[in-house]
Amino acid sequence: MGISEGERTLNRYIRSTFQALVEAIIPPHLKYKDYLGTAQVAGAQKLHVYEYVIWILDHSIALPVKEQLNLVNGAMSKPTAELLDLGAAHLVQTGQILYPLNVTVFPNGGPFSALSKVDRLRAITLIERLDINLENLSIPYKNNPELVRIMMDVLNELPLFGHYSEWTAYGTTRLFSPEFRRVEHFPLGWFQTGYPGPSFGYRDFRGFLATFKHKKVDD
Amino acid sequence: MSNFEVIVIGAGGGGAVIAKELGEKGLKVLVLEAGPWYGNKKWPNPNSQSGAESSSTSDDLDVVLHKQLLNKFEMNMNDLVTGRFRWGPADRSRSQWFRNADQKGVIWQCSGVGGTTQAYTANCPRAYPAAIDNVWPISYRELIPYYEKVEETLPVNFAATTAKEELFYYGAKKAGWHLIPTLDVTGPGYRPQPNAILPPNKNITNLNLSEEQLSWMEGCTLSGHCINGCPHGPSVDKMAKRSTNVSYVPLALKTGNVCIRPNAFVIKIVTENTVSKGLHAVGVKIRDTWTGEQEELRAEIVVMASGSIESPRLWLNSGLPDNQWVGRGLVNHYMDWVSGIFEEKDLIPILGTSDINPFVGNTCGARMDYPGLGALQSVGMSPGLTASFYAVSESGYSFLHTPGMNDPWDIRGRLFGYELKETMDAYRRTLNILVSTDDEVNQRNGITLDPLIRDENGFVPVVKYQPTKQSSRKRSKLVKIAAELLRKAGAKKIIWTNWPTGMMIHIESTMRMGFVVDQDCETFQVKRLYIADNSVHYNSLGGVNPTLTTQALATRTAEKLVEKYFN
Repeated sequence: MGISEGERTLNRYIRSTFQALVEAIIPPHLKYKDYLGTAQVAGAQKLHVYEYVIWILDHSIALPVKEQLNLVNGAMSKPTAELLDLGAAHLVQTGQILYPLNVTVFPNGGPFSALSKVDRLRAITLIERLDINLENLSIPYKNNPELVRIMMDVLNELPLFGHYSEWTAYGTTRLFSPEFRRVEHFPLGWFQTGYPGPSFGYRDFRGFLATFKHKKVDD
Repeated sequence: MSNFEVIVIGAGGGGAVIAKELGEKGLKVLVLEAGPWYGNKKWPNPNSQSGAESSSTSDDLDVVLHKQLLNKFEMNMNDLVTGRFRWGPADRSRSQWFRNADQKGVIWQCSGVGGTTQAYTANCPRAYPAAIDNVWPISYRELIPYYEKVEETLPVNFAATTAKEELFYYGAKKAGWHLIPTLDVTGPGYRPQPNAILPPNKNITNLNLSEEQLSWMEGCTLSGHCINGCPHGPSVDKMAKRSTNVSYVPLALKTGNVCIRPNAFVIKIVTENTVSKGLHAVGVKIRDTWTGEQEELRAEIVVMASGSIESPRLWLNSGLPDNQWVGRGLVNHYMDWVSGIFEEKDLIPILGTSDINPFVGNTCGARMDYPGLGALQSVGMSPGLTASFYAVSESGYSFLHTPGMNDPWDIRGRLFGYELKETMDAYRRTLNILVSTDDEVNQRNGITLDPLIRDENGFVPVVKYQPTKQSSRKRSKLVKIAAELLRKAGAKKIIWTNWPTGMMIHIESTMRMGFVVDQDCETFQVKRLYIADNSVHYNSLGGVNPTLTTQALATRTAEKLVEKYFN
């Protein structure tokens, strides 16, 4: 039992689309580091955060509900990638892109992944404002403006939570069912923010501004 | 499992309280909880194996297991889809339970023994008296003895000060607000959060004891893991953050009269209609979340404590009588998020340290109250959660909004790219403020059933909320006050995320007192059916966190219920 060529193409398309998404939201950047000069800080794409986005999209709805929603392959990632492409296509067709298309960065993707980073965010804005034809979307987005708008926030929230939580440190276990994930190293997002990680306690006690007088104490 | 006098649906903020109160009065109580039980020997692997059926003794509580499961990792605990505290079945290889939201936002509720209090930040302010008196069917004075009892039981104390509270107080004072070290708030001012977190151990600064040793002792260690589920204390019933699974549940079990059954989703309230009693509850139908088996359980009284979404959903799925207010009138404190970024040189003279370190101390240790408008609270969380709160915005991306001359913020909207990185690089120098609005009840908001989509527990709920104009005006005023507070404290950059309407953290009023339940919280249309969760609140309490009021009411309801049916 292998994966068919069609599935392989579909997987590559979905992966490229969400790679392009997380790269636009959390790109790599240079951080000034005193006398040491500047350092390259990894973006969400390098940390595989797109895999978290896809995983959540495909695991957030239980199977019987998916069936009632007519989600044919049972996955939310495909219609969501198509939704992003529709917004991108509309941005291109209405002459609103700021930078030329580039199909070499994510060769397996659609129009969304061919846009420049800022244009990807502008395509999302266009979708968010419902400046697209909702009739042309696939299920569950077809004629469902509330869900379309909700997803534009979700598509930002997931990369941020994935990147700055311990998800990146689940390493080789990251796509396992949550009970089987193991933290393999210190999460890079925590390192980037200076968060020391789970703690037993801190000594920063500065007293009380007021004290509580319980009834019993008063009596 | 038989001969119970009362069945309580839900072991969260309200259910655990009423179970303990009824158990102490000698009633035999069965608590049914849809989610898992963390820290009970009978469920050593609560997320992968079904375990036992029920537990009714505190001897089953296991502190080592509790600490092992609540491992403080923010995704493992708090991911809304797969986290241990999600709204879903105990089996984490399955998806969470589906809800249809009608607006942007997040519905933050948890299943499991302890319910949403597992992840709450333990804030326990009383309602503003002005939001109760001459508004609710009962007076504020009637609530006070019940507030006092809950405050003593949890117990509630004023939060300890760490750097972020100190900075909040400094800003509030400089902005011209006064300290109001009171529980009954009648005018605006700032104060330490009344919360259900044990004060720090007096050895907290004793360097001869390691932090790990402190975490096995009684008292808060200021570790900052309130939302991730506090695992610090010498035993389950002495954990520092007083979620009901560590406060009221052990007390309920100690009465010897309370049995708790997790992994049991109630799918129907069973009623009978007799000449002598009229339409009345006689029991419930449950579904085992592991096996799918259904079972009918009977008792003299049924108490719904399943939360402001599931209680009306259960009413509607049970086909109970029509009532124009069932599920309606949802308030949510129409929340917002304002953040201030500080520079080291400005922090040192105020705090004596160059960082605020938002991950240290009680998550929401400081607050500002403004009866008539709502409340502000400081919030410090781990970075993943913090970042995700910058992502939800009604304004879209921040690049769409250049600030005007008179705007009190520098950035408005969702963060991305370089701006996001810069903000997260400044994570340790950031103070966040949660805005919580005195939200107005509107019958158009609330819970209905999806007419087409059902899951294994019945038709799924549709959650709809749009703030009224009045609520929007109030929120705008609070956002400006928050921005000013941060600016006065010395913030160099202010970010107004402009949260969308559906950030559901304080869901209330979907089964309102006076409309669905009487003033003793028994439903008007179905006798012997009581409600003990946020849904019975008549309004949004003026904008304060709802848990303490729910717990005070649950305490009162237990008393009234016994007086009426067991005397």
